[in-house]
Amino acid sequence: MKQKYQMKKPEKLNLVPILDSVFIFIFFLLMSAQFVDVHEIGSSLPMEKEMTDTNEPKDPLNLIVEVSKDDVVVKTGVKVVQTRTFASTQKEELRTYLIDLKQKNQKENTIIIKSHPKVPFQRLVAVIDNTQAAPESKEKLFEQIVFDNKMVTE
Amino acid sequence: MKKRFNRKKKHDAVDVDITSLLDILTILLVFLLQSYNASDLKLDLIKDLEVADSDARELTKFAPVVQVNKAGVIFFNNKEIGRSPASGADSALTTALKAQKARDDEENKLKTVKMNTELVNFVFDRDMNYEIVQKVMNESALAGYSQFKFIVKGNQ
Repeated sequence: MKQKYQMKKPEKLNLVPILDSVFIFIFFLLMSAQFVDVHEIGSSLPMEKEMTDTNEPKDPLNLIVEVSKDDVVVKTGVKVVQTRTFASTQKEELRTYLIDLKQKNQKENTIIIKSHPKVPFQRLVAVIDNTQAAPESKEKLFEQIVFDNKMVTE
Repeated sequence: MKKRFNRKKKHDAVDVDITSLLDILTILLVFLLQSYNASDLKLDLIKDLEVADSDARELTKFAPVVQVNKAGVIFFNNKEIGRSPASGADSALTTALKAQKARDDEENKLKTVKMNTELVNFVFDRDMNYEIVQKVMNESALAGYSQFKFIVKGNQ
């Protein structure tokens, strides 16, 4: 007996439901799309704290970063104030110095920013970026940013 | 005479090739997914305001938005409220923020998931002097806000 072979036509995939869902998904994404990539830098109000125990063996860090038009001055300490000045181009040096400070003061996470009144906002943001850990780094530096009410005078 | 009738041929259902359409949709989907921002803050930037660039990666949160453009004109939740006064009584910004805070505090009483009424978002022009930035911060602090978030543009 002769056997008949029937050529089966390949079944077509029904793409209608997937297309429907993709369209809905696209509409949802289009409605919620924000084409400007915005992020935030947090800061809080300056608070005054009185030192209760002045006989502590370790001087508190009291990290102050003063931003002026041409340079950045980093001040540390309460009893003995140490000062280090960085030119506006020494971004990596500033970050390295702060990483070093963080390693020596693991519990500290506050940085006080003091600025000259004529410093543009972009420069201030750039300095804040340099006082934070590199974007690819998992370690954190001084996250709590506080703006000092007093401004830097020249 | 015999009439010739044009018999309509039975056509098969036309198969539309949707491969190219699917390609476009996939590309669009990938593009939109990449530019998707999970932040709950919808920011409409005002005119003459160039946002500062930053390495910051923290997502924005929903809160009242204060924007200050190049000319120093202040906008609160996209409504122009004028410039900051040199000195004197409460500025228009402080008044607007106080009213907003009172509204939010009132709404919070009815909500189970409370919103942070201490938080305010600032968008400053990149060339704005720090003295104006500090003035706006002071005026916001007078209205009872204590947490300030500066909105910046992510560096690519």
